[in-house]
Amino acid sequence: MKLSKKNQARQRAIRKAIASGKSVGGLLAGALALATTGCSPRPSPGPIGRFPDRRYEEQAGRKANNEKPRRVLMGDVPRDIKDEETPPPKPNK
Amino acid sequence: MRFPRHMTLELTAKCNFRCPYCYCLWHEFPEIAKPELDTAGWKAILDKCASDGVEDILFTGGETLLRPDLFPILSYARRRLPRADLSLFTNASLLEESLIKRFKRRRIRLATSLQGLATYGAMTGTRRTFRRLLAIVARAGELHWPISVSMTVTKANLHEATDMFAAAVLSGAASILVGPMMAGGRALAHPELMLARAEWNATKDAIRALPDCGVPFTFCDEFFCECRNDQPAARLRRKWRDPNHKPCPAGRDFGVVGPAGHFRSCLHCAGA
Repeated sequence: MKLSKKNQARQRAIRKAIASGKSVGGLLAGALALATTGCSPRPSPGPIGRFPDRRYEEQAGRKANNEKPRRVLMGDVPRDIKDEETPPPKPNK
Repeated sequence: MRFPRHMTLELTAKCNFRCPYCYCLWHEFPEIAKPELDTAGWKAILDKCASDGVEDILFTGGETLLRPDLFPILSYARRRLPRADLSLFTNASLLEESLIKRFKRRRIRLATSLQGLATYGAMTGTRRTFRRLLAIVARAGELHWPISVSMTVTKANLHEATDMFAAAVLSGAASILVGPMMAGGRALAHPELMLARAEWNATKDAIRALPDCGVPFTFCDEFFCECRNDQPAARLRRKWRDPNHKPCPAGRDFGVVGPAGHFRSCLHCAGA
């Protein structure tokens, strides 16, 4: 019998659970989670929103970067950088 | 007499399963089923249903798909009762995708029973497994004509009752009816399979504790139908009667026509 991929996967999961003696009821929770998040498992957005976490830097023994972000537009010249003089041309031998 | 609003027509007593819990009354009273009505006889019954204003009809058996004239009868029923709710109960062993489409065209809803998972063969008296049944339930859902699933809990499948429920939900059942094995029919020969009332209550609690996936379900609490007034029933009533259970409402707005065309007031009662 032809079934959609989703139903094929579910039937396989049911058979596998029964063959291994596990509870089919446990699959219901998984199926419910899939139904609420969409057709396929997706990572929760929570950890992504909190990244980067300063604790990672501390644990790595690095100093936290407390500088304010500085936006540099194309064409802007940072003021603390002096103009370099063009070196004089080497005399021809 | 006038037919009630809700009717069950037992089209045949023939069945390709040998479920030990089968409550069909012809296992106790064979005269209910012989001789079986022919096509013309069922059409006459349907004419009476139409003239008496019957609102819904359940076609059952036996195994309904074993009747070669099933679709002529169903088509006639749909023509004569265009607004009635028509449904058909089958063990789904012969159900195929093409048949589901034919039922859908005639707006005839389907119901089947999941008798077990690991115990499916034992509970149907066959060598079959549950796989095909669940696959056909899933396929019917894909065809937008989902099947209702009923399940009977016995001592043999008690350990997997919640798994049966979960499997039916995961396979896309339209609704689920769960009940304990009832005393009556072939089940009288298998009293060892009857549940204790505490076991049934624990099963209901376990099913209620499952995650809610939005599939409507009903529990049937009857171990014994109070309508029965025949001789073997007195002994059964003493053993299985629930003093807290309300009397069966059958007969007020429900009726059955058996395979031989005789009217009865209840599925579990031999008399009118």
